[in-house]
Amino acid sequence: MSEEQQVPFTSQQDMNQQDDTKTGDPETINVKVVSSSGDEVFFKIKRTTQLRKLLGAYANKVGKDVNTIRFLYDGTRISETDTPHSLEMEDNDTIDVMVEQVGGYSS
Amino acid sequence: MATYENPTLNGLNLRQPSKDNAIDQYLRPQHTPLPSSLSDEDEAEVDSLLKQPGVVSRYAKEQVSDKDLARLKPDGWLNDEIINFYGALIMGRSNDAKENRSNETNNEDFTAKESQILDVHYFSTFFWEKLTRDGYEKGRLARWTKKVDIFSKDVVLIPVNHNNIHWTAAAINFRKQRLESYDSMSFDRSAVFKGLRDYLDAEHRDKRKAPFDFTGWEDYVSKDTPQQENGDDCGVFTCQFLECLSRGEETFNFSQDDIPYLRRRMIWEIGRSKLRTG
Repeated sequence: MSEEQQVPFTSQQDMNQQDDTKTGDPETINVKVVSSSGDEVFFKIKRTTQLRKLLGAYANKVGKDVNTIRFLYDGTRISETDTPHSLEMEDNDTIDVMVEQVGGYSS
Repeated sequence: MATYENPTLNGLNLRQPSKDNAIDQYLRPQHTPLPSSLSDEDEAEVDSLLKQPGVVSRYAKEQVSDKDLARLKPDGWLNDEIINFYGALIMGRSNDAKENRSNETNNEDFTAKESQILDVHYFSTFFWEKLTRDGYEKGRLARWTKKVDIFSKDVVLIPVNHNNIHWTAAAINFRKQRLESYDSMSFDRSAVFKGLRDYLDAEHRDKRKAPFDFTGWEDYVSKDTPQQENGDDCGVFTCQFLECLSRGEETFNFSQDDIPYLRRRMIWEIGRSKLRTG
């Protein structure tokens, strides 16, 4: 496992991590991933790491197929090659997780 | 000498339909009917697109996979991926036209068609879910427009998903000062109008530091909104409503009969990342 492989941690741990980050590595940011039901998972990630890794780790953690969920940053769809840097993300920013929507109207 | 007879009620009634038709023609100019199929070459391309595995097309931040695209086969229910891809194409065309307009004076190729493409903003299918589930504040919707001023747009287009079974189109039409809802099932959409008003006010308070002035604004539903005659096609209707609205159309040139063609055309458009109309 590379050091960029992210391990999710709880919000309690995250508070400590935030303190570390503020005084520590400016190349790393904390990101909160929020599901549609409001559940939160925290990640620490390098600004230059492709978010594909975070998305995969999140899907794995919550037991979802990554193809059935969508990740949004400020309304913009996150693609696999995006990085926190390319999206101009800041420390403690939030990623929204949305689930697939369908419609046709059966009466 | 011509005799003049007082018209009978019956006579008036007989004349009325032709007058109605004339008014109708004036108010709703006839659109060129849509074809029933693509060219042989394009139909073959659609067939081959439907056989491609994995991600079939990418445009802007959107992508469509084989599973998503298969939803455009007859009777398939559309999902967010198809609708947001189509929305990205609509917004991309609008941005291109805007760029061309700014070069208008020294661009000989500028066509009347481009002048009909409005300056639009498209919100993804998740906008409405965030707005209605979380609200403007908790949904952090202010940040969705950190790089766009919706008040400078001609129209803001919003696909609306209802309970994961139905799609409709909504619009904030700044040119005509109208909040609009287009529903291929024509259900009551007072909740949509309320949501649009709440959003517009909250966004104006956030970006312009003042309540939105709704003077002169109306809630608008067109009686001529094409209606679906089955339980499957609302997503296609919704995409086509949005596409027509982005060209400033007041009426729609399609009906249930055109949906099989439009489904095929959408596959082609998504495969090529290019809208065929306008």
